Amino acid sequence: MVAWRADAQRAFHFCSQFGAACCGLLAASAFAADRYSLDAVHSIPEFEFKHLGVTTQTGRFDKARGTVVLDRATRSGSVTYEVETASLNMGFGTESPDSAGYQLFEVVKFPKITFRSNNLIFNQNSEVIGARGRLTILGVTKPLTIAVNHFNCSVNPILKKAMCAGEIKATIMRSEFGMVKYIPGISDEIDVSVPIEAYKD
Amino acid sequence: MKKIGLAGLLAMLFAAPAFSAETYTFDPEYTIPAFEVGHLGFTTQRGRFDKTQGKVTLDFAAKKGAVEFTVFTKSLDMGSKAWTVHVSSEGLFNVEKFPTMGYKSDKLIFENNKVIAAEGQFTLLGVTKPLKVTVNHFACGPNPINHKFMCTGDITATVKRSEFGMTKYIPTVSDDITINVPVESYRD
Repeated sequence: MVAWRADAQRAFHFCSQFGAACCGLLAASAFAADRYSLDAVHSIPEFEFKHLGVTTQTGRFDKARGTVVLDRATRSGSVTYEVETASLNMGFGTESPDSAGYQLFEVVKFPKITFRSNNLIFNQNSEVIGARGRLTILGVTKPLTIAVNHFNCSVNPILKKAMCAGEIKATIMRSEFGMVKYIPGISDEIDVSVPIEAYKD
Repeated sequence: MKKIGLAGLLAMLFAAPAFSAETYTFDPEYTIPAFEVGHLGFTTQRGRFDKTQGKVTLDFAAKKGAVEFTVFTKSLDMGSKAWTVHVSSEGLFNVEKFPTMGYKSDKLIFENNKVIAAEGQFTLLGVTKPLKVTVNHFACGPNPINHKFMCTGDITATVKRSEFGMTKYIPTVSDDITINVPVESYRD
């Protein structure tokens, strides 16, 4: 609250110098929540696991979508993110109902993995640094806090569109969601990385 | 320069591998190279090549070894078809003209009984430059499932793509590329 007041005071000071027209603009952006849609091509989730306790293998879901609502003035926001499990891509070629990956994720029964949060965590500069939310895998929902690194809102220099971006990191134990097959040959601990590039609607 | 007789040279070539060097073949399903590139200064984007082949020769007694790794560039997989086609095109990986890229080293670096690095030559877009790679988590032993003897490791390296003539979109797409290759190889 104190920090918000400081922001408001800075905005007021700025406005008093540059006039009312500018102040109107600032006020509008300061109080509205903006909605951003993820650029699916540049927001592809990856996960890493240990194979046989030795190598670090990577898997990926090629189809995911999501929206973020951000109100940086009030330091609040929400996110919904949905992964299509059938878009699993391990690099082995086309996945099929018989493949280990499809069986682990029970793709037919559980076509989506979802993460929802209405509790984004902001730092003093109103940058998002994390989110407390709920992750659903195999129909099991558990609380999950994710880290958001390199949060940055700016204008895409090529498309000239307003965007926010960040790097999501989280670690989960898959056994907590009932995915226990092949532990420990395929590790229980899974590191998740999701680059996010989202454009303002 | 001293002349070495043909008979003597052959004997030397055969002597080393016959007594202690072993050759391992990479398992392509668990040796999938990924690379990371900075996008617009915002995010780290990842790409992957799904088809590779490789062999490594290890001589633990002499603490020597060699590796040869080939990546088939047409197996590039960025996650979406349009983006894969774009990154495969001329100016970037130019896969029609350069269907392979690869790494060769005959200088593996050991620390005790572990390979920790390699000094070799990396070829990208037909340009070959020296490259030192780091080997993490090196381990050898029988695969607990198929019981075949294997050696494994996670390879990391960083290259500047501009050094290989791949300059398109710098700095929007970063010059620095981080490479990660898990390697699982089985004794022949």
